Amino acid sequence: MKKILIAGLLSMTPLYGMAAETGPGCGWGSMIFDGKEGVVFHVLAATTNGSFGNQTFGMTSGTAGCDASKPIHKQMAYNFLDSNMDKVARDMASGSGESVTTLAGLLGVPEDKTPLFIKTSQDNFGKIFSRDDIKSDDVYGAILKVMQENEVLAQYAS
Amino acid sequence: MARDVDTLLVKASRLHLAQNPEWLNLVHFRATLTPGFESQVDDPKFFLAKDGKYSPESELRESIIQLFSKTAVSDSHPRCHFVARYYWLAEKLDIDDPNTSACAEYHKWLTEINPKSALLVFPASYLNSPSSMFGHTLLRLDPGDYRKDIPLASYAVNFAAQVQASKENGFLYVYRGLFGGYPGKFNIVPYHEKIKEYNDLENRDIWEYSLNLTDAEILRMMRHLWELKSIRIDYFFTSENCSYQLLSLLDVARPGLRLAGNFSWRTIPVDTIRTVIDAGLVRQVGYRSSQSKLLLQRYRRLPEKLKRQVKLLTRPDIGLEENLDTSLSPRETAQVLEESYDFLRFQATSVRALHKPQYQKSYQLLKQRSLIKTASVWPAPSMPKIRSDQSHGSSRVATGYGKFLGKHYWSFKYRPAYHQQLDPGKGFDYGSAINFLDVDIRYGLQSKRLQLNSINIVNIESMTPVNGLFSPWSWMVNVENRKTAISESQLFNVFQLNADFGKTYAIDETNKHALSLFLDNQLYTNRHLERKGGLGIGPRLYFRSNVTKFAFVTDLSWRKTVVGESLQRKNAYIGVSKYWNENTSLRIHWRREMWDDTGSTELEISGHYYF
Repeated sequence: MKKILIAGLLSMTPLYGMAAETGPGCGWGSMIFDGKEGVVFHVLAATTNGSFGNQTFGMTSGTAGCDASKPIHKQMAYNFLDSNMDKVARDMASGSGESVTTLAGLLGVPEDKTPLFIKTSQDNFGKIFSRDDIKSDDVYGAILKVMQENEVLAQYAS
Repeated sequence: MARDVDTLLVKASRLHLAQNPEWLNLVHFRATLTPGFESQVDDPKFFLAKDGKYSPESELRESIIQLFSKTAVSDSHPRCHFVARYYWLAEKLDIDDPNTSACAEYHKWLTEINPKSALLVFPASYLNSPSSMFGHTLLRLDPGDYRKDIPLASYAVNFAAQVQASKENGFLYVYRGLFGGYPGKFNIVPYHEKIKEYNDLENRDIWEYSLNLTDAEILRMMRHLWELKSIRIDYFFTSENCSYQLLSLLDVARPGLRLAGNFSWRTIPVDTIRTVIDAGLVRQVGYRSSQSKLLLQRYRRLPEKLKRQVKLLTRPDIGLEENLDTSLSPRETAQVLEESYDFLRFQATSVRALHKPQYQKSYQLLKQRSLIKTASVWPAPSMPKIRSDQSHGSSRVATGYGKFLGKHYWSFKYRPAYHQQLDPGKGFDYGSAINFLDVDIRYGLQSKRLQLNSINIVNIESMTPVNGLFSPWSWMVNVENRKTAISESQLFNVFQLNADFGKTYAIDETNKHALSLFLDNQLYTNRHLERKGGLGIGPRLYFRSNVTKFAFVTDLSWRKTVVGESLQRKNAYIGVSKYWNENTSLRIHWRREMWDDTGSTELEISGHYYF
């Protein structure tokens, strides 16, 4: 599981360049960054907005290594979760927010079912985020499992 | 009906298509001084003709030949690269069955992004990062499908310099950025990545300007964007930068616009926003507050006992369960838990690291929060009344009349960018300044001579006040050459460089009045000095006050030279400014300088105009 995850991340970084700045590992560890630093950059260089090797051009690749059999929008849902774990977790715990709403939308949950998705996530927070060092792969799996256990949401959890 | 290429070439010539502004925009041609054209694109892959970069006619001719050739069309055919040119030529040459159905990659890309509307996004400045003050612009493309109400899932189009950060040192970065040493490319990333970068990591507010582009205009723009995929356009930090290239995209989208043409030697992002607004492209404006601003606003509105809880619970050595006040209402508890989590997250992004105790605490905070079923425990964030694009113009000219060392003079000043603390503050954060190439020329009434009095090469001031949550460093950098009275009878050009560090204290959260204390370090040099110069260190006090349309600044410093010349320098500056609207102001300043025992006084009144 871990191996697939790391391979998935490494092959995702050329596509989602900013993910390179989030460093290794999904989950809470994804908050460790290697950004451009130093007073010198501030003082002397109103930014060139360097993209630091970013080569993406809006293609969600089917060969990202995460799961080529998933439809494109499910991959977007996964990538979004991976990039925004801390915000999604926050929104799920507090029962509202743009990040959890976006995740719901990307998973294919229609607008009228989104409040149910959010409430279900909040009620099952401990199941979705079962450990403090959980990785996004496991979170994603747990979310799908929780959805499957709900008769209304199950249809979107394939 | 397929047409013979020669017929098309004749028709194109008759229609003068090579001189058509739409063609010139598609190939990014700009008129040169020696009559002619040159494309701003630097990548040979962008041109079909050998001399295509310098000849609209050659490029047009070769484009017609290759795009309408009879060879089988596939992803590697020029038609599938130059989609915008193909459709434009087909329209102008009356070809009624333009066909790109064999261009699978292009269509897959277009379907993936599926844009229905476009927005110009402006991450504005952050007070403690003046390098962000010029801002940045990017384009957001909102899809019309199931993603239409979740903008974080949209794509963002960004033109950026390709920099190998780890290998670059600061000075080389500046040099290459200024002189086109970096290749620039368009890239497309998920919008949420940009939100993370600007809103969260860099603590910048974001303004989102919805554009009124029609479906046809968006399609035209997308076709051209495809043509620019992986194409190198050299990045010039001051002129052909991120904001400039977005304008060139919009110029293609809506024929007749001449947005990029408004900018020649200097493109400041906020000016490009103003140009887009003036061209009638903006439907409405949205706003996203930065994480740090939201965090601080919410903290300030908490009653004392909740503030104390947040401070307590975010300590790594304090356990959550034992220390959470159980007498609080569910709503209060929710506020404390959320604010604590946000503070920990902010701390982590500030230092670019997340330590185990922090994420363990973060997890516990969220777990606890999930037990409280009250949602939305905060009031909605408010949009600032004044937008960043409504601030004073980026350039400034000024005329003054004054007296220096007993002699009267007229002064004429020019500054291409950007903002000083005495300038009209609307749309800017208090306590910040960034200025380049501020030139002051004086005409002495007695001497009847015109002389350069001073040139300020760069001045950056960042004075973020200490507050309940954070204690940021304040700093100032100043590099200038100024005529200074070194002795009673001698005025020399002294080159000086200041780098100051300190703290700022504001009277209240409006930050309208603030006092800063600095350690002032100044390197100065002049060839007439005995030891050619020196390094002086000492205290500096800076006080600023803003009251309705007045701004007031007092700046006092004293430095003892520790290396070089053995002397003391003292400076005192008092400035008062009044503004009528955001583009005119009147200023009176008094300046006294002591160079050991030699003193000089300057008093001046000046009128400033911003444009």
